[in-house]
Amino acid sequence: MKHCELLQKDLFAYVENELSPVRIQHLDQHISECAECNRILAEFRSVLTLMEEQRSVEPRPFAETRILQGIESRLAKRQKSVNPLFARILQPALISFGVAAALALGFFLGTGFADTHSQYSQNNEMIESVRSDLNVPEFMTDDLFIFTE
Amino acid sequence: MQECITNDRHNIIILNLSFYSELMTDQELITGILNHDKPVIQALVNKYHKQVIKTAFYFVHDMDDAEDIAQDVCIEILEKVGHFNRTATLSTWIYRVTVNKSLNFVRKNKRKQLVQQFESFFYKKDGKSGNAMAEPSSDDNLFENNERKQILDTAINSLPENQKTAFILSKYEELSYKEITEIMNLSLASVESLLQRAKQNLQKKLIVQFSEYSNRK
Repeated sequence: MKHCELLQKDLFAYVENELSPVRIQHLDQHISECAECNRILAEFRSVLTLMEEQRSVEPRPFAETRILQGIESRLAKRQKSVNPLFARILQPALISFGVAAALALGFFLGTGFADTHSQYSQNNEMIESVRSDLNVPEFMTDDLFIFTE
Repeated sequence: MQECITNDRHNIIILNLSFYSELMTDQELITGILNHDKPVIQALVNKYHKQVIKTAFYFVHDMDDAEDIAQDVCIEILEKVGHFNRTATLSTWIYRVTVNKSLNFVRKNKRKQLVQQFESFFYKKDGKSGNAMAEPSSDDNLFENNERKQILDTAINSLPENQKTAFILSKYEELSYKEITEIMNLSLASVESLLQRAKQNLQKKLIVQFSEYSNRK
């Protein structure tokens, strides 16, 4: 393997000082003699320095406030997106159900009332006929009548 | 120092919040979030926003995008804290969510860039179709910092996702191998191997890029 390839294979390890002293010495000698490897090594070191600089990047001022505002607005949007479902589908459905229930209740109560009314009328007629047949005085049967009006 | 703080109401709030968030344990934060306790949510953002923004930035190389990702991460933490596996630390979980969100962003962005490149190739404003390659800069200082940055970002972006994640967590975030194994849910040997391959690939790509620029010069 050529010396240039050797350096290029171990560039990271060489720069980070992870190679054996003998190997480092060997590569040092090659770099001092090879302009191309010297150039590549210089560029590589510059890129690593840039990496160091990028590492120390800090969030911009008020990033925390912006994130909190963003979270709040997005959660509020999600909340709103739930409401239309209630407004468009659930709310009319609930109102319709309520109206139908009220109508049904009115119908059943009305039917029951009509039945009771006709039953009382029949009772009164029967009492009236018995009273006239037996000539019972009116004051004795007054309490038996149920007034339906 | 004292005078400066008392003069600035915003600083006092931030200082109090920092103090509050530093004192809170993971358990207290989790319980507070589950109870929709607003000061606790603020404390969570205060404690972890730097970590999240910085990690996302190392993946996407843009501060606006990093802040957007940080919002996504915070919302996911708030929504899924009930499913959080308490055997890991909150910080590890937040790192994991951040890495996943960032990788997703990069994937989507790559598709968008491909479409844009495709469109710009065929629909050039001057009506000429053809060479999509940028013309070499007339400037002799090709390896100025901006260009170096671009070379570095391109080289890191071209790494496979696992290698890129391991490399960023190790070299940029300076996390220990143990922490990386927890975040990536891998064995120590796997992380070591990933890092080794990442370095090999990166130096190979960088050398190619250096040569290309050198030839253009």
